[in-house]
Amino acid sequence: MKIVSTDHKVIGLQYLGLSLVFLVIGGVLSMLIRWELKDPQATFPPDFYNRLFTMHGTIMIFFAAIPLLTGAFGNYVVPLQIGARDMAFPRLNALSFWVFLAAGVLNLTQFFLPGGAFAATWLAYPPLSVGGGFSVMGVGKAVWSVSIILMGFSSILGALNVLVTVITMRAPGLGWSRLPLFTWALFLTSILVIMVIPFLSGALYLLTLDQLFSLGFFLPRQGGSALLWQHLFWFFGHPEVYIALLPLYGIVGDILPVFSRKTLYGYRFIVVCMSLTAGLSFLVWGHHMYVSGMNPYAAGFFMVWTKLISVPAGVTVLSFIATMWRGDLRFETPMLFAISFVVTFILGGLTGFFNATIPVDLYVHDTYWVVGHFHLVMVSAAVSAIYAGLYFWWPKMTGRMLHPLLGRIHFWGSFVLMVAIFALMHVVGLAGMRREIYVYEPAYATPNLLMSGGAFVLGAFQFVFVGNLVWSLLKGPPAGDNPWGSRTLEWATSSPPPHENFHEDPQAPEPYAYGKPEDVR
Amino acid sequence: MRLPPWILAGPGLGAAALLAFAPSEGSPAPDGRALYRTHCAACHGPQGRGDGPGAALNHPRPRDFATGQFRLVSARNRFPSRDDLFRTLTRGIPGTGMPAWGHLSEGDRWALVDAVLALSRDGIAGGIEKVAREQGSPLPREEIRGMAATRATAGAPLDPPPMPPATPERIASGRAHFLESCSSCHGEDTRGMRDPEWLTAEGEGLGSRDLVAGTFKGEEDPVSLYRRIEVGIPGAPMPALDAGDPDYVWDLVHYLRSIRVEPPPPEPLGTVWFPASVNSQGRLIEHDFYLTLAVTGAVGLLALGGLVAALLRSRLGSRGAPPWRPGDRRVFAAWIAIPTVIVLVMIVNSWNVYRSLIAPIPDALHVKVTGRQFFWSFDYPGQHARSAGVVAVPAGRSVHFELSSDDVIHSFYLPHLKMKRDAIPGLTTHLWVAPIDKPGRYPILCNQLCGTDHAIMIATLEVLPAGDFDRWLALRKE
Repeated sequence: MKIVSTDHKVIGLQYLGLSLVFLVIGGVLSMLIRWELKDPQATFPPDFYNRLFTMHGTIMIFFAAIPLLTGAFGNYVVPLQIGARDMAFPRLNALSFWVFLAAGVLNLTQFFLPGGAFAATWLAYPPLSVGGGFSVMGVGKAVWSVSIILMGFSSILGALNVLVTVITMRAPGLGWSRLPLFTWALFLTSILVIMVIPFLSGALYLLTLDQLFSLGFFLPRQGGSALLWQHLFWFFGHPEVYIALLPLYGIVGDILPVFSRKTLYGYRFIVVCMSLTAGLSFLVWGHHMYVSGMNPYAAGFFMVWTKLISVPAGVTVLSFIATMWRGDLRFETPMLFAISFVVTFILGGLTGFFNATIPVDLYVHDTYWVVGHFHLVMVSAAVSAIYAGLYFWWPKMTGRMLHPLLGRIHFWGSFVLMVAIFALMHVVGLAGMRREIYVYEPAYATPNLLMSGGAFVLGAFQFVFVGNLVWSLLKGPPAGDNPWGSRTLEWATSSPPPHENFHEDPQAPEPYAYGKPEDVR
Repeated sequence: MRLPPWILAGPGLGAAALLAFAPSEGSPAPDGRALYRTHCAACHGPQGRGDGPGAALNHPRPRDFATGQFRLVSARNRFPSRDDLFRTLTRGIPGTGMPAWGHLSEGDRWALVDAVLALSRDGIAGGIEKVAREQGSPLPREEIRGMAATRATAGAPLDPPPMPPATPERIASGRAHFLESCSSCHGEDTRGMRDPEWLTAEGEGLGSRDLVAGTFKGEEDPVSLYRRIEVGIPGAPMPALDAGDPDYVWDLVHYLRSIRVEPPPPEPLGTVWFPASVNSQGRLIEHDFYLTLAVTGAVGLLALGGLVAALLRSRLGSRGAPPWRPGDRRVFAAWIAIPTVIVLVMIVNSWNVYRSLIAPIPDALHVKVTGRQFFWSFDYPGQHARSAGVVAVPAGRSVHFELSSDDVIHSFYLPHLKMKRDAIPGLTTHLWVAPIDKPGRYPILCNQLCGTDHAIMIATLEVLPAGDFDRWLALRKE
């Protein structure tokens, strides 16, 4: 295998490998965070802790979650699902991976620079992110900004490629109304990426200039605005949540019908709801700023749309449940994690409804309630769907099956702990515990000890997964072309697929027509 | 196609990155000067002259170590011992911007004590050298150092004989001693006074302490009180009594303890649920929370119940061929319409609650709040009174906090009132607080990461009975 390849499957695996590396680094950082929080006293120096959660957030969002979903799954699965031989622009595809690698390495160099890594949270609110206020923060802060700009560049290239591929390279007969849900999701996510990443990049250019040359775009003392950054950041930042969420819908929507042996309930409605979610995501950014200096009456506008966006999300989830209703359910590991997504997404979505309620947010804003909420969505739900996708497509990628019992152990450990830990975060937030503090009031000691203990056990359970991957590569039974009996096109070729994917020209299927009676056909 | 083996190199790479990153922080022996620069220099200044960027917003001003005058001392030569400084560092100085540093390790705190003593010694030496030069008789460096070291060394801590039991006679004679030695400043009623002549070493006006209800700078155990009466408070107008007669001082201590109403402990926070609300707004917010909980709880139970039913049905029921159900327009119409109506009703409700929470309240007490790394500074416009680290308001009166920041974004967060509002440089924001029913001490926390010591940027909201509040304010007038 060539290191620099233009094959979308190789690039997809490269994305997968690299983003898993970042997932592990981000995960180790989270373990260190929980180590500090196991008791109310200080263990690490404060700025060490500030760096921990800043880099944890940065790495998990920019270098693990997004490249895993769009880069790894998107690259590997989308061309296969639409019966294409490769992406529309294979060399551009390679470029976006290598820019990701460069951005990731650049980001990690912060740890080794004088003054250490960035410490002003991954939201990087100025004036703090520009400098001052930390005992040590050197050029690392600008390196942080530049590496994110670079990463955004990589994301935009990848998104363009997906859009052109989906529009122009579908197999004959594969109309928009037959597109598998995951491909739809990547299509919509790519539109979001192209529309919002430029806002982040533009804001980061200004921030970098502030950080390096003190030009003052965000510095009130120099006529700048501290609040402007927040608007620009969240105009990117909230759609970013849906950039991550839509592919999760896609993964789960593709898995549930296969293991229910039943058609996806309301395919067209789900697509409409996903599009609505993507569209409304541009109207909700201000809900991150209810307690800021933003005009307090503007908060009402954002509350309306933030609450209404829960309707299409709810409809999607109900469709997923209806898909399982009276299905012939098969509880293979991908199905278990897909169900875990549905459960945790219901929980996380509902706690988000509290945050959207301005009077409640006045209290819970920036407390552990909010930390619990977004971890319930971005860890419990997102990681569940990512694991579902990994267990689902791993046989296609490697040609080997994973061990079902190890998968089951991994599932139960992860599911129970991911719900319990983040539920505790919610209630300790209700008790008033602030986020981003390394020492806290002794009243919160017991729940925090439980959360730390739970986090370490949760971390340990992930070794079961790593062990499963190793076992599969060494001893896993051959998967065959279509081990799960799925109807989508990626399963209509050998595992792993050959170069250029298909041995003969694929015929477009109805992706979810499980058990369709003859007379309707 | 084989999978590249480096996909599994993730754990190794992550561990390597962390190993390289971890030791670059703390070193084995704590470096007091570095810790000082990190935690203290923002207010006390790089050389400990009380002139850091945060000094101007601190009331009272931060200590200038070069004067050699530290408030809390226990030796007759009025210089603090290492133990004195360690105690002050650990518990902070209540009622001022000086926070408690008890969360730092003991080693770090001792290193900080030594750094402060070294700065004090250097500052004193600089002062001696300057005076000598001005008088035209420069001294050799060694001699100056010796003189400074002598001045900057605590004598033996005052070790009083065991406290005699508190009898009515002793308390009565303590009252007599009080009228003889203390009442000219603290007032015959013991509630404190104000005199424009009274200045601190930093040149600020200062009222004498309200001995009944005022916040004491130092500890309130009998020995600490004994020492503070006998050796005084250096740098403040409070002189040393120097009675030399243990019975005399112990009687005073007994009297003091007999009139003292110790400040109530801070109101507790919750552990896994709300802290108790203390005004109408807090209860309103709690109410909105429970309403949201009821609605989302019902929705969640329905959805999860449906899911569990679907799973159980497949597990327990017959495994017939699944029906062909591609989706029904009417079902989706209901799924969209019903939640939309519920959501709209809840939006209207929350909007009305929110509007009432941000509406200006007439006749509210106006307090300007400035966030500064890492303390809160308060100003009562029109009253010529300022404070830091503590803000008093009268019970039963609404308050208008006008918020701003002197450096980065902070957030003014009152858990018991269930409210917060960001303090932003270059902007003014407002928090209108409805009357608080219950006098007490409530924490004010910074809720937006603002730098190294964000976690301990905590002030106290003192809700006082109206009379006590007027006294509190009067003693702080400039």
